[in-house]
Amino acid sequence: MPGHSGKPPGSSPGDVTGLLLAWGRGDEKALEELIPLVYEELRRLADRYLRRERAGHTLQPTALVNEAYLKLVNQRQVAWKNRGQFFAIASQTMRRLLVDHARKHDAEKRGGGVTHVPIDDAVEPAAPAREVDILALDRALERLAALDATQAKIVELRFFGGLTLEESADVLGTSRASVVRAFRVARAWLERELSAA
Amino acid sequence: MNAERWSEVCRLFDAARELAAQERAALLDRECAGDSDLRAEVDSLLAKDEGDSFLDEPGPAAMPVRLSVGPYEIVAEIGRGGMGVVYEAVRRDQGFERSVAVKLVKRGMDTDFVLRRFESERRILAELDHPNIARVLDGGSTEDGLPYFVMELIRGENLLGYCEGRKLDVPGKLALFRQVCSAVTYAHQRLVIHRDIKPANVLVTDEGIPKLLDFGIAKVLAADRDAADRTETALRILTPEYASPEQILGKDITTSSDVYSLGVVLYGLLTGRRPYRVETHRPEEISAAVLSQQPERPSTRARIPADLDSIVLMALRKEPDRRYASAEQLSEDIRRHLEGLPVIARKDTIGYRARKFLARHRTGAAAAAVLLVSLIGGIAATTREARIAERERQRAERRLNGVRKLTNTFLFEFHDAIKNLAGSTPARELVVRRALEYLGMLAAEGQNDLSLQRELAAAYQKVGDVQGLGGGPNLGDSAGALKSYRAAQGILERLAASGAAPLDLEELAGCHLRLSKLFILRKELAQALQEGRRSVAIREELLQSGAAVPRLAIRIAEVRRHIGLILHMTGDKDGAVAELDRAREGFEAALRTDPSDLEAGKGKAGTLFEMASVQQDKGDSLAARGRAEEALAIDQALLAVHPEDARLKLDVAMTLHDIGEYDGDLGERKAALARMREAHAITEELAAADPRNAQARLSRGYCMRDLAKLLAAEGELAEALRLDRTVVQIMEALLQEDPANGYARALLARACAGAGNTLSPAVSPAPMPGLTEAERWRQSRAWYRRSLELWDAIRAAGKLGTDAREAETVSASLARCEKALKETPGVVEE
Repeated sequence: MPGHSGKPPGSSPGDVTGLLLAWGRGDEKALEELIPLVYEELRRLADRYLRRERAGHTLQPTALVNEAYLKLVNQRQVAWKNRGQFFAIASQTMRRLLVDHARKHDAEKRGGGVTHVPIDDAVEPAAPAREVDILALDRALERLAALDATQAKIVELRFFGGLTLEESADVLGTSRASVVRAFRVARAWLERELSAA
Repeated sequence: MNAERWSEVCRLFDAARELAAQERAALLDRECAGDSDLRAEVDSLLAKDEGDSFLDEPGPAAMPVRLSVGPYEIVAEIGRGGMGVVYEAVRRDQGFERSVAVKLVKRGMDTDFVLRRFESERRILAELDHPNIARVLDGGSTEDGLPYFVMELIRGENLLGYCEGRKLDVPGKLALFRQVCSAVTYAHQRLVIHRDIKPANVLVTDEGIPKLLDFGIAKVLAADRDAADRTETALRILTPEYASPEQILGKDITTSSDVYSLGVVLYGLLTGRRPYRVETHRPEEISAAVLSQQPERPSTRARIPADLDSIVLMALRKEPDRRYASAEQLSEDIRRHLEGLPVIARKDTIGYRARKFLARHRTGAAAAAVLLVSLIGGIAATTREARIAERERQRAERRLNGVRKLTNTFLFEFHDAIKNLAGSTPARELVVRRALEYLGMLAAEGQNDLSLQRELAAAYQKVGDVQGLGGGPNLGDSAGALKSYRAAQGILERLAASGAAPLDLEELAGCHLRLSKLFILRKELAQALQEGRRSVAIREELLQSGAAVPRLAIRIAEVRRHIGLILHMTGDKDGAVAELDRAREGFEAALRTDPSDLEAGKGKAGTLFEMASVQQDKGDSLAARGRAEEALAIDQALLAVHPEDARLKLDVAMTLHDIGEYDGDLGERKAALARMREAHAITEELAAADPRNAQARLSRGYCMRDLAKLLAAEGELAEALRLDRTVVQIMEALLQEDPANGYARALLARACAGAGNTLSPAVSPAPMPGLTEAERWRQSRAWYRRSLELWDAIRAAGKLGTDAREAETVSASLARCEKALKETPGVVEE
């Protein structure tokens, strides 16, 4: 079993925690420093998972985001609000990572069709992992953002960041009810767009 | 589509969603009039709204796998390794929050098997309660099927890092190491083998206390369902540098494997190196080295004394039976080294022994021979015990079922609560209530499962103990305890009726004894006597039938002593003497077989103690004191061997108390006061060590009351009054927690009368500064009145018994107060 030690090299919880708090106080520069740190950590984690894909390991985006959060942020100092902000950044980053990964895969397969990243880490063989075409989802989200940026953001937060409706409302500074409404219609729209594809 | 039109689509979608089909159509007909594209758009979205979406599996989302593990909320990741991840987490339950370490086992282990294995181990692991062991608190599996273990959270540094960081010298390192040995010894005595001792599993806190982590976890994870996999498993799970040869070979693992791993740890502590030279760090190479290489002498790598060389090498021997027989022996040998005594690791060289001996002693060659013989004898005995222990352990492992899960979850967490969260009575009561609910459900479901029923009966008894049996930590809820015991009794009687295994009957006898003790506590003596007689009848019958119940004779003596006590309380002195004599014979017979038997020793002392009390009542305080002193001698001898035994300490206190009483009867007031003070000091200490323990508080009040009485007789009125007031407070608190606590009520009545006596100028002629005589009479009268009220209540409940005389005395004292107040000049009644 592992001993109680071992933080990832490079970014320490202190850095990210401090930046997150600074950003929370309105320091926009902090955000600029924050994003690369989060991206780096997520990329590291994702690489580790994706390398194992062949060995039957599947990717669970939210697990990664959560993992990154736990590694990077000192939970004792950070308020709920900051946590939401972190997840907002992380969900965006995660989306980028997954899309990059899917593109690379596609290229390797010389355009051999869409890449399916299993999105559920469930193990029971009776319930096969639900799959979603990440590239199609990404394109659809871009189209949705053109119609209503908030709706696309909510999907991103929920799907790639694992935020609940409450947390999403918190991050966006709006009410839960309006998040529910927005998500509901975005959901129907995406389902239609993706099933048509 | 543009944003403006989309917002119109969204508005209609929202509005329509809320409506039933008919109204929905009406709405859309009206709103989309003439705009068929808009209508088609909204309709197609509404159609998609009905079904499931990949977006609502709370996505991968709302299963924040790593934000919580089971009921534990993760706070931070603290480690990661081959086996999985370790998190700091908190569990927020009713009323309390505690930080724990959660080890989440990574995917790829056989979850079901690991969990079954853990279920079988967890009770044993949960019972490991040692200052140098991080406790295993819980375990389970996450929603996505990963096993996890919950442990006491230790903030500290690993053993090697700590020693390096603090630049500890060799004796300092050895002192730490010996603490680790004491943890391992403790676990071995409880039949638990660690199997993965290594520096990373020893964290040293800032206070310098080493804590051994992961006890028994390696076993739970070692999925060695068949022996063929064992080697592979061992290599996969263990750290080969610290694994013993037998572990690497997949052979049976004994306590000796832990001794070996301790040896590797000690090697590293002393030299900063591993014992074997390897080129690469591939597991295969390390394993081969462990199996075939002789470790290099530590002294070739660091400056250390030759004794330590021998000690380390003895622990590292390839053959388990040539190592130290136990971790304790290893630790002892280090102690001997530290004290300059010969170490057993080098005992085979006579020249060495002679040198050591001559260096220390100038005389007494025989002592050395004795030492050697006793050491060898010790080794033989422990080896045999270890084998028996392992066999017992294997037997115990086979008896596992779901009840364990609940008793563990509730009762053992409850135990933690008792120990660590003094003052959280509501939480503890809740836990007991939950445990009872679960037990009730299980009892109804598993009627035909004999072993389940047995476990249930045991669990009910355990709950009862926790609720209210005197003599252990309890909640002071005697009514609840009575119910639980009755439930256990019911189950055991059904078991006994359906084909009576001897152990079920023995268990039933034990249950009757518990009930009897509970009734004594409630001062319901007729019931107590009845239960005691049932218990002894069952055990006698078992003895007649020659059933294989261990220690049956001692148990019979135990009940007889108990019955003697009840008879004495009911006033049947001759009956009590007869019963106690039989008890004493029983204990003495057991002691003839094994003079060091703790239980028999305690039993005999307790019986003598009780006989003394009966003799006092018969008017022979001299004989009483003789008996009590005999008892005291036995108790003190036992306490010298078992200094941490709280029960023994209490026995000593009670015996001192009684001897003080007999001294008083015999007119030896100085001696009496000295004895009573001693008794009082011990009970103070016991109650302070366990402030929630009702029994300890009761004993404290009891000794305090009688000390007050003696002090008042000596004219120390202020001190006496202060003590009695304290007794009143203690008893009031106890009664508030458990109004049925008859003892506490009687003691309260006594303390009130005592305060009345101290204040009464007639009883205590010494002056009381600051109080006029009239004031003393008045206050005295108030105390007597309160005492009499309490005695009246006790009488009304039919629990007065032999205390009737005391109540009469109070009544007379009160009358004298009234009279004095009438006659004293200058006293005006308001």
